[in-house]
Amino acid sequence: MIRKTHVDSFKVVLLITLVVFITKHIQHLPWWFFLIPLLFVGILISHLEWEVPTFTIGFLSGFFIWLITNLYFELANQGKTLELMANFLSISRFLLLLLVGLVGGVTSGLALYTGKNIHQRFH
Amino acid sequence: MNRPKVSFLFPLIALVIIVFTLSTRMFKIPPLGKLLDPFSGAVQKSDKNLFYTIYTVDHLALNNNVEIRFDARKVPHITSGNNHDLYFAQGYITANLRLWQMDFMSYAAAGRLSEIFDKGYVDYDINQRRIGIVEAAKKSLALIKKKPETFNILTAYTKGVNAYINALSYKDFPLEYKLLDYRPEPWTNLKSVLIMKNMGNTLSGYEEDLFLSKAMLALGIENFNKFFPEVPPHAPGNSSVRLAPVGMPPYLNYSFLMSSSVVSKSSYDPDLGSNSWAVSGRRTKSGYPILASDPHLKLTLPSIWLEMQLSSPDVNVYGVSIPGTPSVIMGFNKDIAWGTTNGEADVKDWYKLKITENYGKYQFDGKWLRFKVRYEEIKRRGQISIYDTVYSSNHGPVVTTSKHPGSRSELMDHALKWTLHKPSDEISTFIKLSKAKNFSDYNAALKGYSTPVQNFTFACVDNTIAVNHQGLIPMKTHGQGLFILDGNNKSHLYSGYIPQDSLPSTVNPTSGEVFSANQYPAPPQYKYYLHGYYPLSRAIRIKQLLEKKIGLDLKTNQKMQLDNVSAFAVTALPVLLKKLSAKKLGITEVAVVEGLSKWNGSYNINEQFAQLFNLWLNNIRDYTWDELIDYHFIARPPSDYVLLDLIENDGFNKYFDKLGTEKIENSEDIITEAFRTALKEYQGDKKNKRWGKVNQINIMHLADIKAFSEINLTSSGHPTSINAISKNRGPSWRMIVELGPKPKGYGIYPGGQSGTIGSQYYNNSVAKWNKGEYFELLFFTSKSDAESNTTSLWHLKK
Repeated sequence: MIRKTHVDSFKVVLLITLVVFITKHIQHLPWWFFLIPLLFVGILISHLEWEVPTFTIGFLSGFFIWLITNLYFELANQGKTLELMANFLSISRFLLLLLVGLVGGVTSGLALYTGKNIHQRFH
Repeated sequence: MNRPKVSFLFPLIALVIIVFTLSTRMFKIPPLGKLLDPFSGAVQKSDKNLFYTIYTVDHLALNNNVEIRFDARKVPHITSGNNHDLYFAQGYITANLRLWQMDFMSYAAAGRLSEIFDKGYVDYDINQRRIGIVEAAKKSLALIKKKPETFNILTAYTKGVNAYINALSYKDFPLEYKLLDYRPEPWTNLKSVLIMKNMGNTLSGYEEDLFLSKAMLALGIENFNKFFPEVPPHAPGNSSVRLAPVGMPPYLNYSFLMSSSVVSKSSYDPDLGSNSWAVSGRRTKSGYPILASDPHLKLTLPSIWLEMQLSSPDVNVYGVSIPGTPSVIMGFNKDIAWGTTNGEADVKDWYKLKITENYGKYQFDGKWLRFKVRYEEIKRRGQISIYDTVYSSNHGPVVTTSKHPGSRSELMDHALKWTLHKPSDEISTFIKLSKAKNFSDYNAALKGYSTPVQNFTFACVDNTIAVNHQGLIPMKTHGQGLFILDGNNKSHLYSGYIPQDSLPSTVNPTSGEVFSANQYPAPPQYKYYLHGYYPLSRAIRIKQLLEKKIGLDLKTNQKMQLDNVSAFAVTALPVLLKKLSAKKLGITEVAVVEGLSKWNGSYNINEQFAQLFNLWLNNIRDYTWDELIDYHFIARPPSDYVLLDLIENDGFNKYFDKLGTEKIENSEDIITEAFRTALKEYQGDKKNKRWGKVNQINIMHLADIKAFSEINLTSSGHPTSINAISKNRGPSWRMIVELGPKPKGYGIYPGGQSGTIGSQYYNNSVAKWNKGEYFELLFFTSKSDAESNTTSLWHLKK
C-alpha cells in the first residue's frame, strides 16, 4: 500500500535531484551553492505539510547523487581519478566512495532540515 | 519575558560550519567539498576534449583558422597559414595538455614555491632568487624584445596559453590545482623565458670549486693531477686527450680559504648526461644519414617533453618541446635532424670576497666598492611575506650570507659569476633550427645560443653531419676557475668568451660519424682551456659500436640506444680478474670467478653478474680511497678510470693500503679482499641477484606526490652504459631519425602526452619505454597524409 509519506518522499527526491542538477549547471558558482535552493525545498516541505523524514531523505538523495554522478563521470572520462585520489589520501577506494557520499548526503540532509526548521520557527 | 527561541538556528550553524570545513584545506587534506563534488571536482578532468573526434573553439585572437589533428597517441599536429597562429595554437594546445606543469615550473624557476606550498620552500625560494634566475630572465626578455621574430612568436605563444586559461572554470582545472587549492595565473612572456633559464640552471650547474680547492691543498700538485685529472685516462680512441697538469695557484692556501668544517655536496648531478650521434649515408643501408639522440634528465611525470608537429608555410617540424616554451627543442624536418647533449662545461665560478660588516662594501683591486643591493619579497601562503636582501658585487650575486647560510654555508660571502646571468635568447636558436634546410642554416641558428652549453648533433639529407660544442664559455687561463677565485684580485675576473668560430666543432669527418656523450669535446691541441665534468664510458661504447660499421639502419641504431654494456666494466673486468690472487680463494669462489669472467659487461635487466661486479667495484673504491674519506670535504672519489689506471700502472701505490690494518696492502690484496666481501654480500642477498631488482627506478610526479608517480620499475641500464637508466634518471626522450625523400622517425619518452592525472594518456608510454619499444613518429607532409593518419580534429577559429 502506498502511503502519503512515500509519495511525498518521492516528490522530494525528484525535487532535490532537479535542484542539484540545475544549480550545478550554472558555471562559476561556489560548490556549496546548491544548498541554498535546497534550503528552500526544506521550507517548501514544511509549508506544504508533506510528511517526509526530511534529514533522511535529504541525506539519502545527496549521498546517492554524489556517489553515482562521481562514478558516472569517472567512467565517461575513461579515467581512474577516484582510485588515484584514494591513494593520494591513503585510504581505500571503498572509504573514498563513502566519503564522497557523506559529503553530498550530510550537506543536502542538513540543508533540507534547516529549511524546514526555519519555516516551522516562523509559522 | 518571552525569550526568542534560537534552537532553529542550530542546524543552520552546523551547516555553515560543515560547508566551511569542506571548503578549507587543512592539515594537507585538500578541501573535500570542492574536490569530491561530482560536477566540478576531481572526476571532472581537464583533458576530456581529447576524446572528441571533432572539437571546435571559437572567438580566438587568430588571424586565420587553425587545424590541430591528433594521432592515436594524442600527438598534436598543428597546421596554420601563418606563424603567429601556429605558435598561438602551440601555446593553446600545450596549456590544454600540460597547464599545471608549465605553471608550476615557472613558479619553481622564479623561486615562488612558498606561494603554493604551506611550508618547507622558503630556503629554496631565497636561493633561487639569489642565484639570479629571475634577474637573468628579465634581462633576456629585454633582449628578446629587440628581436622581432622571437618576440612575436613568444607573444603569440603566451596569447595562446592565456586564451586557454581565460576560458577555464574551476571544473576544468588540472587536479593539482584542486588538491593544492590554488588557481592558474595568467601566462607571461617572462614565464617562458624563466623556464628556459631554469633549464639552463639544471644543466649548467657544474662546479666543484671549493672541493677541488681543498683537494689541491690536501693532496698536493702531483696527486691532485693524478686523481682528479681534467680528462680521465682511457679517452676514446688512441688520440687520448691529456691536458697539461694544473699548477697550484699562488693565492690558494688555507688562510685564503679559511675553511669552515661543513662542506655539502653541490646540487649538480653528473649523471645528467646524454647521448647523441649521427652517421652519414655512406655508413647506412639506405644511403641517407641517421641521427640518434637521447637526453638524460631527471625523469618526471608529467614528462619534461611534449611531442608535436608544427607546420606553417614557413616551417614543418616534428619534435619535442618543453611545455611553457615555443618551438621544439629536438627534432627534425624534411631536410635536417638535430639533437643535443649537455656540454658539461664549468661556467660557474665562486669568488671569495672580503667584505665590511653588514655587507656595506667589498674589496676589489684594493679599493672598497659598494654592493649593488636588491630586495626580494617572498610571498608565503597563509603567512606574511619574507623580505630578502640580495647583494651583488661586480662578479655577481652573493648567494650565501650570514643571514641566510642555506645548504652551502661554506660558500658564505662568495660571489657567483655565471654565464647564465648574461641576457640570452635561446628560443631563437630553436625557431631557426626548426626551419633549417642545410648546414649553413643550422650554423646560423646556433650563433648566439649561450646557455646551457650543449653539444648539438646535426644531420642533413645532403649527408652533411656535424657536432658543435655551442654556448657561452668563458675564456680562462689554464686551471682558472677550477678553484675558488680571489674576489679582490682584478686579474681573476675573466671577461672574454671563446669566440663563436673557435668553439669546438666537427663537420663531415672522414669516418662518416659524429657523436657526443658529454666527453671532452675538443681535439687535444685545442687552444682554449676547457674545464667540465666529462664522463667517458658511454662515449667509448658509442665509438666502439659505430666504428667502421656499415649498413646501419633504424634497427641497429635502436639497439645502440638500448645498449646496456658498460665500456668501463668491459675494460675493468679483465684487469681486476688478473689481480685476483687465486690462492686466497676457495673452490666455490673460484667457480664464481669463472662465471664472472664470462660476463660481457652488460647491465641487462636479467643479468646475474652485474650486481656482483658492482659490489666488487664499490669495495675496491672504498678500500683504495679510504685515506680520502678522512678529508671531510671530498665530495666524490676520483673517477673509476683513475682508479683503474692506478691498479694497472701503480699497483703498489700507498693509497691501496687499507687504513687500520697492520699489513701494507697492495692492489692485489685489496682487490681480492674486496671480491670476497662482495661475494659474501651478493650470495647473502637472495632477492637482489637480477640487475633489474637492484636497478629499480622511480618516475616521480613533479610535486613528488607518490600516488601520481611510477615507483620501483625494474630496469636495465647503468650510468656508464648508453642506456643510462638509474635511480630517477635516464633517457628522457629517445629519438632516431633517418632522413631521406621523407624522413622516418622513431621515438619515445617515459610518460604520456596528457598531464592530466588519471588520464589514460598520462603515463601510457612508461612501460613501453622501459621495455625499449619505440613509436613511429608521424611526420605529415600533406593534408591527405594527416587526414588518414589521425583520429581527431580540432578547429581553432577566430
